[in-house]
Amino acid sequence: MNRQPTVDFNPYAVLTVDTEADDERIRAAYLAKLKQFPPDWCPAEFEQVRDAYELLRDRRRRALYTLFSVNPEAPLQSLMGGMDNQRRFAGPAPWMAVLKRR
Amino acid sequence: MRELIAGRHSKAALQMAKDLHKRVTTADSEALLVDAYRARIEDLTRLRLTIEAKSLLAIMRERFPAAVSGWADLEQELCVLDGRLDGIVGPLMNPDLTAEERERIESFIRQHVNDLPALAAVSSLPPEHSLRLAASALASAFQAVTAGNLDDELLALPQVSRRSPLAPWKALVRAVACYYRHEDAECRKWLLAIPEDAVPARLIPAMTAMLGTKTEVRFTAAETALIEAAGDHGAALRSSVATIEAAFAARKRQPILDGVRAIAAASIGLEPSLRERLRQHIAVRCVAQHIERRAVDSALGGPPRLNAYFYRLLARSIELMGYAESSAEAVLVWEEFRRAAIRDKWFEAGGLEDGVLSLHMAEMVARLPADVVEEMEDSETFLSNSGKGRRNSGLPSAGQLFDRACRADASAESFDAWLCWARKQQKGRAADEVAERWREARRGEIQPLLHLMESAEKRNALKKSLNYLEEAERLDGLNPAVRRGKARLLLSSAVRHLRQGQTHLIPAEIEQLLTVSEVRPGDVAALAAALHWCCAAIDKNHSAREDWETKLVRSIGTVAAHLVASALARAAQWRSQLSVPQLDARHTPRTELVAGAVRACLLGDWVGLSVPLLFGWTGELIEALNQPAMSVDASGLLALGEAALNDSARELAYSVSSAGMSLGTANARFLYLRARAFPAWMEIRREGCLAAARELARRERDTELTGRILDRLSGRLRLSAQAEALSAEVVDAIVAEELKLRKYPTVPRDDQPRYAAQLTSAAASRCDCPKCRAKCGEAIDDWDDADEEDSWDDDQDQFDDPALQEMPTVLAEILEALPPADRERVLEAIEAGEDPIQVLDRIDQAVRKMAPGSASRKFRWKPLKAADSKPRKQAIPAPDQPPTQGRLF
Repeated sequence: MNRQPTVDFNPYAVLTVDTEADDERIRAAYLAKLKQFPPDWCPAEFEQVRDAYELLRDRRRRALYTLFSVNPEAPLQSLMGGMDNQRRFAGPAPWMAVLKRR
Repeated sequence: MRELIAGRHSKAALQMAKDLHKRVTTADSEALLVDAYRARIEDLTRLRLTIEAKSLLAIMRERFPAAVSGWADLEQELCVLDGRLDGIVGPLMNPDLTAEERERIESFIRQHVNDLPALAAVSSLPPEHSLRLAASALASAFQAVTAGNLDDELLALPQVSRRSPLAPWKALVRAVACYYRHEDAECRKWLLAIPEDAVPARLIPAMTAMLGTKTEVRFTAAETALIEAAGDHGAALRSSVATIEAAFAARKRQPILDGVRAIAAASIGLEPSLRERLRQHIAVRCVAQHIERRAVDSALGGPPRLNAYFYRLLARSIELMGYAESSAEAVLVWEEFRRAAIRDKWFEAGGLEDGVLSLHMAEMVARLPADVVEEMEDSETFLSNSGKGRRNSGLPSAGQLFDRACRADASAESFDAWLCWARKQQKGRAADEVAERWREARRGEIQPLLHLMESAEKRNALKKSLNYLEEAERLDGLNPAVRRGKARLLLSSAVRHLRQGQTHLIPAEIEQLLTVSEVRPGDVAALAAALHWCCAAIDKNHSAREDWETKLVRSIGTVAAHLVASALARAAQWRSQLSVPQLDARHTPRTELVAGAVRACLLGDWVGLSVPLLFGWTGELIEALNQPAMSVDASGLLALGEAALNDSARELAYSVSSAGMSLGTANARFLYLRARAFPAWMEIRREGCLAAARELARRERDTELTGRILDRLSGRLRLSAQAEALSAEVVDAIVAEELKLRKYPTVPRDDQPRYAAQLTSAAASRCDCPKCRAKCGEAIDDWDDADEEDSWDDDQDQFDDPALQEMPTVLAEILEALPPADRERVLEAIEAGEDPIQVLDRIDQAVRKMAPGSASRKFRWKPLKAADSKPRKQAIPAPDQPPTQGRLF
């Protein structure tokens, strides 16, 4: 029961790697993050980075995360993350086309 | 013809007017022809057909010069269309220009001029003229705001005064900026500031629609293009999503389906992959709300794509419902996910992910009650209703899934789970086969060897067992489990020789036993002394017996020596012939009694020797445990409690739990001990203690204890109840009240603990039935399943059966009359949730086996159903049957 990961914690986002990243890239991202968040200066961030790396370096835990981290009860709004601002800047042309019509 | 002109059918009107004028040629026909020409020129101008309009105007100027002299506005409009504004604005430089003429020109500019760059570039006005400056600033600002630059400085536009004919443009630029900033109220305010006859007002209908206001206006092609290019597509979708989320929360079927339809319509322009994902999530959310799939598919405009993503989402959703039935269905969906994931190349068959998934499925199946597995064969599932005609291919067995998991991922965790499951199956040597597979797959691990050693020892295959022990010692001789296994094996061998009277073989085994590293100092020496004492007693060597008895007492004390010797004599089946070291319990200090019993139980636990605790001084021991000043640690008390339970000394186990809880260090384990110590009829308190123990164990991350509690609950409670946690307040209330209730309940009473109401309330809050949801204050509508209530009533009818009503009153009496071994089996069966009819049938069989006595005359259970009256294949062993060798372990 305790083996299943929580859905709130996204280790890929913490390490800023994509889900297809291999071991080497994950390690490189971890080392980069360590430089960014040294444990003495940023203990909270460091802990998150370490947890994320611990989860992703273990292939079994990574597989568990991949399989079971989906949240079917997630609000539908969360799927529309990139749709907050849908008012696109189309330039003056379509506006002027309306203005030129009587 | 007038009607045609008014209806903007100028082409037909002109043709008819020409024909008429040719035929009659009157002043009226000429006036009609002039009007038709004007209407035609206006329409051509509106259609931006300037060449055709100018040609017609030239014809009119030749043929009807008097009439055309009043058409200056038409000519100016054509100039605007051509971008020739010099002639229009040029008079503004005339110092003698009248106020009316200035007003007319400015009105014309406001109503007709739409080309700001052209106005900014007119040569008839000087560059510093306010109109040119304003036009230039507005042209730049309009270009900027429509392209994404929304700086406040840009929008200040100090060049455009309130009285300027271009002031409506300033309002328009600000309205557009507010639109892009999502300041919709401000945007509407600026739109209202634009005069209706001004050129910028032409954008008001489109912008109003873009702000989300529904309108009946038919848009032109240009307006439609603008709405599509710069409109907010997400607004309608976001609104629909918010609506459906509210419907999901309210669990209202029809609003949910309406919301699904709205989202399906609003998401048409969405990116295809995002739209499909949205449809999949909605379909799964509807499944969780038990809405039939056909209705959902219809509302969505077709079924969602059934790919790996969808099946994973669906499986998780069904799994999280938490019921046993849903868990079974979730396993089927996980199987479908596996197929889809392999097909979609998410992972390979036989890979690590496959192993992890199969292990997860196996553990789910292993937790399912047997009746649910049977029901799955007949019930309709999501997959069987998928509309693809797919039949439910049957629930895979836990064994198959564990096998697949371990093939794909031969990890210790997978094998450990498989072995743990196989041990519980009690099917031949299935567990041994699993252990052998583990041993072959992972040579360096001792867990399978320990299992095989124990299993071989139970089958009296001592040589094989010793071989496994040697292999385990070679791998890790210092491992406490290996050392313990060695001690247990050697003691078991010695006990078998004692039972056979082969005392001459014992010294060699004692020699080996003395080489085992002990956990507590003196344990091995005490065991050796006890074995020597037993040999001397069997051989009737009195002096040696007294010597070893003295050594035994000296090593572990009188009380422990008495108990260990009793345990050994009982295990060797010499109890009636051997007189164990005497103990005067009445004159022994109470603390010494407890410490000695604990010591003996710890030793017995270490070597697998069952210590007898039902004896004449149990009362003194219970009294000692109830005294406040006790210097025994939790592990010792737990060993004593477990030994008491093993020996059916429930009252002693209960007192141990009281003493343990007063320590406050291991409440979870002592609550679990207490739950098992209760008499069978103490249902509420047992449930409370188990639930609180489970919650405390979960908080302490004690997975081993959590697993044991869940195993015990699995037959009686549904998985949802197992998964849900008790609140901290309820747990504290249970612990506090149980701590106060130190007296063992011996007589069935109606009064319940004070926490019973909280426990019932907590259970109701977890229950999804309409009644319990209504109790929690949730609104229940007509849609909630009425059939469910009927089925509950049916269940209640079963419990109203007179035969079952009779049961609780006689059960305690019957149980008291049963032999201890049979009583334990019956109690365990009831606690494990076995069908009451079967349990009572079993009691009946047990009673029949007893010698004719009061109990057998008092109680005869008549099975309610003919099917349940079949004789059981597995008979209950006779009460005085000696323990087998394996029971030591």
